[in-house]
Amino acid sequence: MTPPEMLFACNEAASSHPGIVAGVAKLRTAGHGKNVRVELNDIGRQFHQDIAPALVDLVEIAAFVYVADQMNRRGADDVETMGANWRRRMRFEIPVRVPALWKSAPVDDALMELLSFLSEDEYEFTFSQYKSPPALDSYLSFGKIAQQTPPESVVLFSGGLDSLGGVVEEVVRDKRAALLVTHASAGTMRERHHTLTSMISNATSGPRPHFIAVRASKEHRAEKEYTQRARSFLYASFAVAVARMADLNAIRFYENGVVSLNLPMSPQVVGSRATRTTHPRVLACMRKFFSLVTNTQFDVENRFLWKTKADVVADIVKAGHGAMIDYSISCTHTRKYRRDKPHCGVCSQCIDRRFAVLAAGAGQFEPEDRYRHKLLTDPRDEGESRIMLASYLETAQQVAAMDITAFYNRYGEAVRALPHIALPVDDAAKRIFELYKRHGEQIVGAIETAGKAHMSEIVRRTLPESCTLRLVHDPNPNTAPASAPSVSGAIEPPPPTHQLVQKGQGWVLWYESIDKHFELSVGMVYVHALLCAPNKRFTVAELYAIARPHMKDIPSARSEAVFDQKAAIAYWQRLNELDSDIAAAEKTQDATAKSVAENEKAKLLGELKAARFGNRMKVESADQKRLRDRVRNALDRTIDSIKKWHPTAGDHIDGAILRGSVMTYAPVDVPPWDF
Amino acid sequence: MGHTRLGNLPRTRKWREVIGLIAAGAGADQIATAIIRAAETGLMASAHHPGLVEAFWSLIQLTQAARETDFAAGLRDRGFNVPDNPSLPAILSAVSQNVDRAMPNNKGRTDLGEMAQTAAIEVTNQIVTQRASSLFGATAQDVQRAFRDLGTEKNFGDLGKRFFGQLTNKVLQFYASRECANHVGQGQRFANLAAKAAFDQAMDTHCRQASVIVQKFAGDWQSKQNWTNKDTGGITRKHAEGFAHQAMKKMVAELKEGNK
Repeated sequence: MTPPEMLFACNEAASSHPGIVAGVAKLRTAGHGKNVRVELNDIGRQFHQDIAPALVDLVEIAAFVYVADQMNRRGADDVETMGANWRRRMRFEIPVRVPALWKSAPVDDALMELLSFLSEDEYEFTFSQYKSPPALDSYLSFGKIAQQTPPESVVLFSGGLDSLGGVVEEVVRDKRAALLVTHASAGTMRERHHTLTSMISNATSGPRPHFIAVRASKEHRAEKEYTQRARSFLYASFAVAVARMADLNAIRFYENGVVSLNLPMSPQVVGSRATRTTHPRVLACMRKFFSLVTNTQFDVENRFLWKTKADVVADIVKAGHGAMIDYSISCTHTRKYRRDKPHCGVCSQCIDRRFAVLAAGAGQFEPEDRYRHKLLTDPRDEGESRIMLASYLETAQQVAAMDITAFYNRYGEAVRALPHIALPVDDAAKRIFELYKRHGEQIVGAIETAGKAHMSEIVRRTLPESCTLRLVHDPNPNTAPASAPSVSGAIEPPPPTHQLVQKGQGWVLWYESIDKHFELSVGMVYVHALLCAPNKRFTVAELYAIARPHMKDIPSARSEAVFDQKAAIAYWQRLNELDSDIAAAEKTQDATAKSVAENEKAKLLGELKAARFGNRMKVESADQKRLRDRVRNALDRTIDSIKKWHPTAGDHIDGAILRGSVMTYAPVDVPPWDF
Repeated sequence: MGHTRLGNLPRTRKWREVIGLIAAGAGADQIATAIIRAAETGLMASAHHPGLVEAFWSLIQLTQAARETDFAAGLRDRGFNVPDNPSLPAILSAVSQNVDRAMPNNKGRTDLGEMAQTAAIEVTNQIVTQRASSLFGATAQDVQRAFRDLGTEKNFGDLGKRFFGQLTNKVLQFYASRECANHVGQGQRFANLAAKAAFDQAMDTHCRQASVIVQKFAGDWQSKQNWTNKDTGGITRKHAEGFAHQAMKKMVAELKEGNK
């Protein structure tokens, strides 16, 4: 299946698509119709040297890719096409200042290799020569205070815990003069971010860091897709431009290895549904691509690849800067940001962050009520919130118990990173396992500690049923997992041969010792009532009432049954069949068959007589008809479902239940039902 | 950074039935049947896609390279980027790279292909580590011997069985994991995460049992292809594609039939 395609005509290329064209989006960073904001703020004036035109092209290309990524919706839940709509096709027409560079095969290949792995989309770029390129100055604003010490490094600083850990290491501990490229935060978040940057600046006895806030966004909030898989390309490209302005040949990410490798925490997480922001392969692709664009040996590194988030937090605390933790923000739901509760507590970042803080024993630096959903004790709604938490916990618990073979038997995805790590392959494989194992053990340790602290509430079951601690600890002995083998030595009663019973949130039907489960349905209540009373005649109103014991305004259960055309045909058809069977049995002198057929015939005739139908059709009212149709349709649907899942039982029940305005379960031989 | 996207099952009638069965406590076999019935069309439409074909093709190539005197050279001739005396991690990494290379710029990539790629790695690891003591206990000779053994009719059948069993389990869990966690908690289908893990294990076992259907088919197919094509260079990628599609069809049919 071919994924949907979208063309993005950028700056001057937009003019070649006049009017509104379906499947074409026009993006402009300057001039008439400008709709993309590109900002590199607070650049020190001394850095504004003769910046290479290719770097300005890079900034624009990165901005276009980032904005396009958000404008083009992914079919994330379109599971039936096996991700055909998750992966998009995006074509770009972009004018550049150095077309010879961008059109060259190595650059084109490197760009495509980087982006296609990063976001799992299909890209195509058509570059043309600018006639009148926007000036770089239109994207820059200059800070009042320029850094005095020549910068030694460029660090991407998101304001989250990992990058805070990196800055503490780089700026506070090592006293390096660093340019910190950060995103320009908006609204109330700006205040918290500003506090954090001030704390960092005040904490160092070395050169004060210089913060450069960057931003690319579509005006008029036209974002449709929030996954932003191309995000790290944008910030890395801007950081590269900043690095080259400062005459540096490297940029640094600080992201913990578990998130960097981001192995799937759930089987539904396939491909880039887990971000690859700083995956070792992405960084390798960036090194190659940025080296080509800058014509240098450009390095892109992640210095926290072998640390877990809890390791990072522990190091921040150890360095004496635990107080900064509370001012860092990890949550993805920035639009729901609240000053007093900056974290949602539901997204994967919040879960990961809170566990890391607890595992590092740094809970005192971040009050639990900073999260809108408390990690350990608040209930989790059904859906993404609960699935996320359960998947996270399950993965951590399982990995903590694995050896290296079991780990690679389960996480084949991990080997994708091996050739891109600067270690011998075997060593890299070992260290990835050790990293994940340590992470799993840290999470399990945090749960154990929390479990001890809340033991009384757990035992008394006063915590919400869907909270973390109950999900992990709930020792309900009555809810054994389906299909799980018995582990106790106790002798269990033999399973029933014929039974229909409601169990939990469904029904279990045993027939000839084979069991199948069915979802709750009113039709199964009817089947159950009929099977419980073989040969008993139920009017539809009676069945309707049985399924709704608490409802008022039920049509009278004593309302007279109607002998309609359908019921008459069913009775007469069966009687004719029985006559044929009797005749055939007489011919073959089969006394048993004759006796069985005669018995059933006598039973049916008895029913007709008892009902006093005679030969007259009784007319039913519209209400009665509606009621009969409702009951019969529900019954038919359920019997169809039984036939689908348990054909033997379904055939028996279908043949034995007479369905008219009177319903009867009248098998020739009643199986040994156990109700 | 580090965001993970999760989703739910569609709320169409066939998927509602899957959800209802999970809630009702249905066994792994019945849920597997319900999922495969709901997902069959999309699944079979993806069964020709390059990710699946390349993953299975890579396994065949490993067995063929293992028959050569110089294993590393044999692997390199077949496009695997490995050093001399390759360790198991080096081979796993090369397999993954090979599959990725077959889909430049993501052309033809699907979720099924991604799952097949990781299934190939995992199965390779399982088979070799079963013969050697651990991931790092295997010498290049151990790895070569393990793959050479897989070239026989019986062992190739086992390879096919394991690969399609692992892949099918991934496919079923790809869907089931979108719903199962909603049923964890007191009074729910799964009392706690341990109960859910037991269900996942039961699903894995069911897939392995169902994949027996591929075992004989794979062994016979390999034997026949090697004989038929012995003068034209053995099994080709096109042959592998045909086999992968047929094997998926067999798995789907087997799971649809269920444990009646």
